[in-house]
Amino acid sequence: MRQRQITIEGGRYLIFYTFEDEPGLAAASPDATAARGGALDGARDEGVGAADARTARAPAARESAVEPTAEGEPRV
Amino acid sequence: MSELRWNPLLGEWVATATHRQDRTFLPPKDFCPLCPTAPGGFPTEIPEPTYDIVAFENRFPSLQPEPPPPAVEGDDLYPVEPARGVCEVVVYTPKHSSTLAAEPVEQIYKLVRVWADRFRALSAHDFVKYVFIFENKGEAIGVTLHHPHGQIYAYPFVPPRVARELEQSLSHRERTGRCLVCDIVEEERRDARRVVAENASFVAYVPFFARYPYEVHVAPTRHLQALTDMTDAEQRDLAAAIKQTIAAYDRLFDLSFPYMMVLHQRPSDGGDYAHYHFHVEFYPPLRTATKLKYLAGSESGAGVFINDTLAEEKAKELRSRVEPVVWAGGRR
Repeated sequence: MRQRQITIEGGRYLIFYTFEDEPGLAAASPDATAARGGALDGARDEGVGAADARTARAPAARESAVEPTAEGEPRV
Repeated sequence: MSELRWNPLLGEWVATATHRQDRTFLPPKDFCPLCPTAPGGFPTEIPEPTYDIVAFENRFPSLQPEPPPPAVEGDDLYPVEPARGVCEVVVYTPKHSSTLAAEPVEQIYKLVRVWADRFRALSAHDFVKYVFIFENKGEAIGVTLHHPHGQIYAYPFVPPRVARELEQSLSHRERTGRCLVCDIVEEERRDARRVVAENASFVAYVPFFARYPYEVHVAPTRHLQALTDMTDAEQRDLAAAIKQTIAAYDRLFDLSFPYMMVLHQRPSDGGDYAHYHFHVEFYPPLRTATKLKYLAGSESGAGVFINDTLAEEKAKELRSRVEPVVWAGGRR
């Protein structure tokens, strides 16, 4: 496990954790990660049953019903 | 403003954090602050086009390493302290619409190792007395961001619920010479009716004394106090036990099951806690697919939970939804 720390807005730290040097623990590809809404990737990766795939859809479905409340800034 | 106000009635701290009223509330996914920052796109909290797992200081912390002075002065009746501590966000995956349950077990194993690293790092602060790792999942719990993530609060005191477990564990050891959670795990395995899943190092069970219908505890069979005490095999087994538990939750009603997940570890104040036993607790608020378990008068006002269900029956339901965990390449 490797970590790389940077400073983000407000002088806060952010740490990236990576596992590229460990067999079987590579991160998801950038293509997959850039495609938001990839809810089924995890279930497919692990080869688990249909139940996982069904449940993984639920959050996305709920989100689409949420009224937009963006305030123009990324905040947590 | 943020500060710690003492509640003399219960002998515990209350944290005020008025700035959190302004935090982002359920933004549309194109403005998710936990997604990677796409080239030329909306700047999120994570200024790179991809990542695996990240941890960062919360923009709206309840506790800060250098907190502002309290808004009010304390006195003997009402002591007030600066809200000193650390609040971190841990983002599990760059995939916005995933969940921890939908992630492969390898990702959960990586998360366990990140948790251990954050526990170690935050425990090193002299002002941190307890590192509390948790996840609130689902709108029913009150999440403000859907992107899969958890949080870590590094408190300047041992929180009262953990303090009570510590007292009970010490009392049990003084009375019997044994560890309380070791005895609970042994009894749950012997009885077996409340066991949901089990592997070489961990047991997941609906506790005999469950307060929520689908409450599950995950405890190691070996007596240990923290994530940092675990072997690599135990960290993998913890990941597998968590995966099986939350995936079974999702299969219960064919929906993404809301829950609170909390890790109970030893305090970080330098004390001797050899009598304590690490475990994870899940508190799902649903009692049916459409009904919530509310914390109403008895629960909130008297501290007495009324559970409408039997732990043995709910464990049987969950057990029937547990599926094997498959590691990439077949390795554990």
